[in-house]
Amino acid sequence: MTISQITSLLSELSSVSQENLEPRILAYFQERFRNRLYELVIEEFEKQQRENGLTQRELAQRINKSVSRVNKWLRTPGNWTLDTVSDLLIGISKSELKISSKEITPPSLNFIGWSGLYVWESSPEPEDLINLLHEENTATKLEGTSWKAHENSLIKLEFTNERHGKNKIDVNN
Amino acid sequence: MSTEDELRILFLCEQKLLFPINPQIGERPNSRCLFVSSLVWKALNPPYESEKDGIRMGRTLAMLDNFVEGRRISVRLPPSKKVDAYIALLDKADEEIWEIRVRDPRPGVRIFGRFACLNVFIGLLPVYREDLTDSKAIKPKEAEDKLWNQAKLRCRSEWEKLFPLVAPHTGKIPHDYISNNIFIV
Repeated sequence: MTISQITSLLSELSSVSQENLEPRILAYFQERFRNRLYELVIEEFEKQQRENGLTQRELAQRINKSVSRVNKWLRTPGNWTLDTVSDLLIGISKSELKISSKEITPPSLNFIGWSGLYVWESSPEPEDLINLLHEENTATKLEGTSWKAHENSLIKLEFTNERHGKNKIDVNN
Repeated sequence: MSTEDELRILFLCEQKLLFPINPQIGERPNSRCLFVSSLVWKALNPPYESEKDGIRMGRTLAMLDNFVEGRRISVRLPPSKKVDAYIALLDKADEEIWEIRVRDPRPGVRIFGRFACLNVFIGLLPVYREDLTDSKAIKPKEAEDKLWNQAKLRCRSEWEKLFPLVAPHTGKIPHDYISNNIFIV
């Protein structure tokens, strides 16, 4: 059972000029982006909880917020601002969110937004992705787990991981 | 859910009385199933009465995607009154009427429904939050309770139209309804 609605939002996106994006489409992606960002932060918090025993109380102390506020933030992204995201990420992992269309930092590609916004969130790097990048000669490995896309290249990423299954993503550089 | 119930859902989809919700983006397999009545389907899809309604439904679609993509969601069972639950079982629990809560933009949207079985939610009734309040009433709280009860009755009536003589799925804890990736509020 499939429904045409699945493709309708995307096909509408490609068939209209950017000036004419419908408010409902924008609203859909706003909500989706917020939810993906929330998921990203929560997963990072849980990872730190597992690996380093981070608690909500410690997190609250680190970022000078009350425990109840942090608890509320971790329950829902409803009242998050960009400052909230910054506070939580710095407090949780002591690092900032890296967003770049040309430089790809650690793997397991997790699509969290529109317009080529990708975040790589865990290691080790998926083997099949690395192979693909080499084969297509579209990106160069930098230090650590960073990748730099070649100018004017179209990167076709195909990878698998436990959580997302098989994925294919094109990145226009 | 029995094979007979599954066939019933398929039949209702064929008849366009029930509509499956699949993720708007990507090929992520459905971890959970969500079907909606024609009332919800009509509300979700254009044309809308106003641009504001379109925005609310865009947001609602994204929230429904969270369910079918198996994303992390918060679940509330009575007596909890936490306002930030994604999905909540309404009082009284034995009525087995749930709401998926879309809180932004205010006033929000609620999708009332019932579980047909574990991980299978049937969205039956779209409710605009402003229709559940009556600020001009002499006793607003009583008026609100009445509006909520009416909405629950409509939800139950939709269920009975689609699934006559079939009881909704029941449970005692959130994991009886949704097996994975939930947290309780």
